Amino acid sequence: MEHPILFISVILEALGLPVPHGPVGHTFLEQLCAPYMTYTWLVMAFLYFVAKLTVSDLEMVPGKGQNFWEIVIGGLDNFFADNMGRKLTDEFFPMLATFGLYIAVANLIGLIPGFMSPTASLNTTLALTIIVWLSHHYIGLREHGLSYYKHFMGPMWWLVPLMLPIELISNLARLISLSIRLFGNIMAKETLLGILFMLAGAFFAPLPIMLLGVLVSLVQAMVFVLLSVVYFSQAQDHAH
Amino acid sequence: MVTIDITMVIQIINMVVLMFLLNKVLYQPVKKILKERSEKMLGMQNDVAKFQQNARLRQEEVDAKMSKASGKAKAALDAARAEAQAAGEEKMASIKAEVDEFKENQLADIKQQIGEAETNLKADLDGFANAIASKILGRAL
Repeated sequence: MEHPILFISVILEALGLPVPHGPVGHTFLEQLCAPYMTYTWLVMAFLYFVAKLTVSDLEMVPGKGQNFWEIVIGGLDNFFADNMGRKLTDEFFPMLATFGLYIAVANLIGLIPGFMSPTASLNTTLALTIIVWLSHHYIGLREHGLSYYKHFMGPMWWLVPLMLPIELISNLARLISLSIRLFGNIMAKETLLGILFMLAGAFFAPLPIMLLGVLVSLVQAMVFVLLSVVYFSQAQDHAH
Repeated sequence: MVTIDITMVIQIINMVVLMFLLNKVLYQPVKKILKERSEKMLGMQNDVAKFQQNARLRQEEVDAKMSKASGKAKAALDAARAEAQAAGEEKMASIKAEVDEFKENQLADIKQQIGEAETNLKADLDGFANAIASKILGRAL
């Protein structure tokens, strides 16, 4: 379910572009004009310009904007380095930090009337998850070479027939769990807010859910990044 | 919303583009300034440690000089005190010798005067005896 009025869709429609009225577009252009795509680009532009404006003039003694980014980036860097080592952090910091910032902002803008969360679409969350899933296998193969298969063999050779299917399924399930956890939480928030707006928006009925929505948005961003860090770290470690 | 289509691939491209953009405008500059500040702080800490070491060495040097000067002053004071003591004793000895000599002279004078008085008295003894006897008898002898 979407908000009744999404201002980017209204603008695109006014420009004569085909905005899909159902959950999905049928033509390629309709798919590109789907709200989760347009709001993704909005979030991207927002992050880019905010970063550009606040970090344009870096000084040794930081101002307010620089201070905020230093705390965020310094904090994330320390957290990643503590959990998966300095080498992996230096390599994968841009990916993980971007996911954290993008998911947090994308989740939060859905709380503003006229906006929607791009993360309320499975295409968005699955795209993020596929990048993480492929990356953690890349890390595993790079660190261990072909011995990476031992990660799926269990602790003892005679347990292999049991452990191999379990490990394969659990690894593939990461694709589903990571993407659907984020998608489900945010879509539930969007749906609930939409229903409450329609039923009793004039009486501020959605307000408590909006407060919870702030919490859910930040927690889900944190959970996604935390699990990605754990997967990277496990792929880097030796098999039992 | 639960449908998966070509937009998923576009979202992957979007995310890769966003990673590169944010890495360029945000992460690299902020990490660079954090690293520079950390290096500067480390350099300043090294300077502080060096200054503290210098201050400690200076203090030790000053303490050693003070201790040496104090020893010298004590030695000079002891020497001056000993010299004054010796000079005082010498002065006292000379005064004592002078006084003794004066006393000896005075005693000798007194002895001499006593001897003279005895001699005079002895010389006048007969005259005194006659005078006393004349007085007692009431007539000249």
